Amino acid sequence: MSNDSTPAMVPPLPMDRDDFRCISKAGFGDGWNHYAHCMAWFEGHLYVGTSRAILAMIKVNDPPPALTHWPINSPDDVYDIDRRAHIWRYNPRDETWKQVFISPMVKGRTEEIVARDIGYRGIAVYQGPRDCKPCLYICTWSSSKGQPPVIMRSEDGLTFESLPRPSWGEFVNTFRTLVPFKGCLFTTPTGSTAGYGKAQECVGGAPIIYVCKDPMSGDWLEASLPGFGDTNNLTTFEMHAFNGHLYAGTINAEEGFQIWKTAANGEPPYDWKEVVTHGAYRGNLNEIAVSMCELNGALYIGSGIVNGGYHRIAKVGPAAGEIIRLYPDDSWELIIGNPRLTPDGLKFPLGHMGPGFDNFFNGYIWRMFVHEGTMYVGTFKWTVLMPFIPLDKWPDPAQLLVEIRGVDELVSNNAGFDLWRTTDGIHWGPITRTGFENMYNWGVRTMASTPYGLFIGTANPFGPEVAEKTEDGWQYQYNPRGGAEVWLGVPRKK
Amino acid sequence: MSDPLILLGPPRSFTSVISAMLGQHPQMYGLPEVHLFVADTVGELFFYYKIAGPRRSHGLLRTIAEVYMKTQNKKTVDLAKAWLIKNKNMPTAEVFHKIVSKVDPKIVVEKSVTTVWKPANLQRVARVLPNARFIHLTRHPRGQCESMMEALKTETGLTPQMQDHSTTPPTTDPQILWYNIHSNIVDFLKDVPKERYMRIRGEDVLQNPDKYLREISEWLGLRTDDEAIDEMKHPERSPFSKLGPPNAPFGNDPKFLKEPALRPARAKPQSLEGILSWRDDIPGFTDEVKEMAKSFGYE
Repeated sequence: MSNDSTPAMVPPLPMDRDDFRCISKAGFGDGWNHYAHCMAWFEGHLYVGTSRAILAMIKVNDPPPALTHWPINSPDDVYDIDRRAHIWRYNPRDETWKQVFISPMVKGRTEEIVARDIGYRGIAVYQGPRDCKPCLYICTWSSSKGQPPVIMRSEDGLTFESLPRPSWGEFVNTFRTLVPFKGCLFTTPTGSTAGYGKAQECVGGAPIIYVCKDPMSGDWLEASLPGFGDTNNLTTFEMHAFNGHLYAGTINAEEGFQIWKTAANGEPPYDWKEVVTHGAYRGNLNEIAVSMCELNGALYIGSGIVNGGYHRIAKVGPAAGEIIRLYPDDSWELIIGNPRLTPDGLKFPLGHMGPGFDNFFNGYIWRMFVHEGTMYVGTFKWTVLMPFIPLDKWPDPAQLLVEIRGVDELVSNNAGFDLWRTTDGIHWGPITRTGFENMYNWGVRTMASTPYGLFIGTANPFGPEVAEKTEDGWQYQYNPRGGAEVWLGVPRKK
Repeated sequence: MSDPLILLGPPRSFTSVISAMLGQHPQMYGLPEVHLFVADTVGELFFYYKIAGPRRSHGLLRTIAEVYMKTQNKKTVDLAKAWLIKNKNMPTAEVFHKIVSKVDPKIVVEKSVTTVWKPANLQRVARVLPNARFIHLTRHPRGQCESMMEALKTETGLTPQMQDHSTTPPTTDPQILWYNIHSNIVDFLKDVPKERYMRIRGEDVLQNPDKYLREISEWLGLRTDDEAIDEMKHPERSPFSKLGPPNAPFGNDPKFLKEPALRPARAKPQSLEGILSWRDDIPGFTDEVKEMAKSFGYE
């Protein structure tokens, strides 16, 4: 029986563009902080780890993207840049930022003194058996000349210690996922290097998942077979706890990503079951399972292709990312993407949009996060590179768009990441399709749901100086909107 | 003003001929494809034309020329285009309402294929025309798909929704489009009161026009006398059932514009079982397509 005097429970409304405001820009005042690469809410503060000089690093890598002019002013030797990654802390009560950590300089594998950490790609709050309370655990990213990456730990968010790393090989230079599950911490290498200019930030070379109950002990064990027994699985890229299982997604340039799950019973290595194969039957255009997120009892999985939508070495793509959702019974549905006939039935996109939210340039569905019952999905979009791309080398969809809209119009109205929201996976609304009106924000790299709202960290590698077209040709100029940004979304009263 | 009648169906599902037939009822007025429900404003509509091609504008230009200037020629089409450009900020809903009021008291019949392409477009119809009535027009998937494949030999417009992306390169397979569009329509009609829509097999209308045209007219509360029904059997008499002036020749399925007369023999019995003439790497229609087709009464 209804009681009119009882206030109705009003669910929070999904946020729109006007609910978001920028709380940090230009790479925390240093344009070489290109990515706000990871975020965590810990003891009343937001922690943000940065990654440095991404476009400078890509410039010296082999093979570099075929650009007619390099978009930022960066030296020929990336080590001429201060590459020490930062950790910043935000206090939402007085709206202040504090730098709480900067990478030390260490002797690298070439005996040169280099930054130990050039980025922090992953972060988790976890309590091991010797932790008196939940602590911060952070994945580091090391340079080609540096030592393999370590795991950092902090009890108070101010002091950070490095812990023994898993026994992965010397070629591993980065990892990005730390997932607490059943009282253990799981991780897997996601990047490797064969020397200067020969780094692959998404291909780990040792596709093994490691598990550890007590990270302080360094006693990491192998939790899976290499590549789950499939040599085409180059890397285990993303993991997520869901439905009493740990789910893991691979990079597979031959056949498309695979999704595996385990209940992690018994001793490692555990029994794993393959639940999605062949990139959900799109093949290698769904090369990577990039992102995962649970909403309403289903696991959403966003896809992509290495290097932002075009895997140059493997010659995969270009193409935009898709979203599927997976149920506990291992059935799945296509949410955003291209229709197809599969052994699991006819699939067409229930969200009624093609890959990349109907945008060819959205190369990754990069991050997904639920805040107050709404899922927010951010992309990586490479439209901002269009002025630097020799278009005759690109496929028909890109050329057709340029013919219709022109490069200038495309960049001004389409550059910058997409951020979408949904409460059911079927109905979607765009929050921004232009990186919060900053074309240099080419990706949503990290998010954190907190009592103070939804924080979003951007990938923005267009600082400190960006190429601007002038009457005298391309010239590098200071870019006040270059470098990672942090945005805060708080629902207004409606 | 009379509430419009909207025909919902995939391309190549007899929507053109049946829309023109209905539009010949003395109390109805059949439009070509005006595509007004793909956008909120005329400006957005022009942007859509840029992507989809100028042919998509022909139906609206011909409609404006016909209902406002009573003739379709190069000059009246140019005037129609100039009016639209001048009113780029006008909501597409207002444009549609202007057309409806111009032909009032006749009931407007509309059948743009783009309306059913996305649920967002169907929702726009529901917002703009809250009391509209709908006919969900079906065609056997084998006939519809074979007709689509025939059309693709001469027309551009192959979209990702017509392709099976599980193969490399993607394989053209119109059963995906058939299923996708009918799913959109079935889902949309779940929220429409039953008295405001009916579902009809196009083959039935073509094979037994007297019976079904009378049923539809009765459902709409219109005349059902022989004179009215006979007039409906002449879709070729519509001012839009032929090529238009050189600056807007289309506005409808080119095949229909070439042969607009009622041809009952087009509707041949077909089976859901057996191989597909357009691809040989799968045994036949998918289970989903067969199940939905059976729910429409096909075998």
